Amino acid sequence: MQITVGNIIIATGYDLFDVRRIPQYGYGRYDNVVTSLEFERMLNATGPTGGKVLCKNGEAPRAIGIVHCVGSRDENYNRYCSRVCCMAALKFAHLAIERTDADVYQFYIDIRAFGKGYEEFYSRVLSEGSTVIRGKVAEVVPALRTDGESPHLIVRCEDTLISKYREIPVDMVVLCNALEPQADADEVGRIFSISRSPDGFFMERHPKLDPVGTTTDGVYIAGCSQGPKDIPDTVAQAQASAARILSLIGRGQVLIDPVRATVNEKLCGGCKTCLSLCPYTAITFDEANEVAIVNEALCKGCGTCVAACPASAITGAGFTDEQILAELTGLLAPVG
Amino acid sequence: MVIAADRETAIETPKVETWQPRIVAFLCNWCSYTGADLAGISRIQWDPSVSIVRVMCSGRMDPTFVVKAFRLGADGVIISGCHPGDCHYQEGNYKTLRRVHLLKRLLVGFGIDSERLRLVWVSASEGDQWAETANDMAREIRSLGPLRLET
Repeated sequence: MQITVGNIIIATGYDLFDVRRIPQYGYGRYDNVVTSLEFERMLNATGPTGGKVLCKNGEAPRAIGIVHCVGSRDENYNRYCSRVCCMAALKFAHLAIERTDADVYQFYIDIRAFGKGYEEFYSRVLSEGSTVIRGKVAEVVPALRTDGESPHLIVRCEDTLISKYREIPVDMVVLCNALEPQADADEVGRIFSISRSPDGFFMERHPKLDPVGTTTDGVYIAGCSQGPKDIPDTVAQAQASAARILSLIGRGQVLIDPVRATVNEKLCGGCKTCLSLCPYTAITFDEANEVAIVNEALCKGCGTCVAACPASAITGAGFTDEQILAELTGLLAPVG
Repeated sequence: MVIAADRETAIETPKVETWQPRIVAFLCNWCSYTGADLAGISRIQWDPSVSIVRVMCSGRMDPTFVVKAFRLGADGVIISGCHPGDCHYQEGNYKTLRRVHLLKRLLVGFGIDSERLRLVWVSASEGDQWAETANDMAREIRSLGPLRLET
């Protein structure tokens, strides 16, 4: 299928970090170790449990451990902060306290309650009785209760605020996994010739001055394809992208970069060297006058033809031979 | 591609103790220049003997620029473009790759070590790699010593 469009917004979203990559957390091996989205589904009134928080054996958990930064802020996996997990984890704690009698433990590195109203929500969850333990979880191990009750899990961690190793018995562990770039981000980036930043997310044209544009004209990015972000930020970015495109549609005209190649017809010998070099087929040959002609709307100004022209008949605006050589002369001028 | 003879001046042999290499780096606008910019934003230091000239695409690299840079006193030249397959202009970096192979043979004919010209690929996200490339080139040029051209 082919659809002709003038502008494109890339909003391909994110992939969830596969928590199996951290085998010591036991996901896939122990029944009641779940990911954040699985827990979210459990909390949903239309979900498989009708909104009840239940262990796999159908019993209500007596204690729940929520692990922050699973695969984020970790040298071994992703160095960046996934931004959404702190608040999602606090929400999980809030709802778990509301719907169960379980003790709720949070294992965190730092609580990043950065948005409007977020810090207030954090204080509220604390006052509701959630226990927060500052320290990274080392591992989750199974344990049997001596009185023959159903099996449970032990979360081993360091509590850095009291400098002690702790073992917390829980019935359910929720792993807040990192947001990662889509697995095919590389391919998508190549199709639109947009770059990716070191973390693998699509790169904006400028981190401060052009946060929704890309290095390809007419292609904009929004949401988690550009980096982990929460819903308000995603909405703001999506609306910004849409507004940028609407302003172009409203104007009905596109401004193009002045960096273009032009042929000096007096110097052009008609050798056709440039014709095969142009990646945009912007150069045509005028058979009558035996000179090459550059279509200025198609030309993107790369300068490949300028460099190749044996007669120096093609000039690249902004990057002429004279300009670059003058730059060189200045750079290499004798010092002192 | 005619080298103007008028600007050429005799290059004095610098004293070894005070000698600092002068390396010109031609960076493409979309990948390598942005990568070097990222190195700057990330506050990664690189050797100050490397000076940058921005071109839109590594495909803009006229071999004259390289020869002229050596003629004007550069001890080394780096050309850096997007990784193969990632060129903003689709295939400009392949054009450069072809030219550099020929140019290196030409340079040897001029009595210039072919190691003094280096073609590398640095993407917009590789700020640290750019700094490493610049430092590595500066190290190599320091070990090769100043370029002495017969005038």
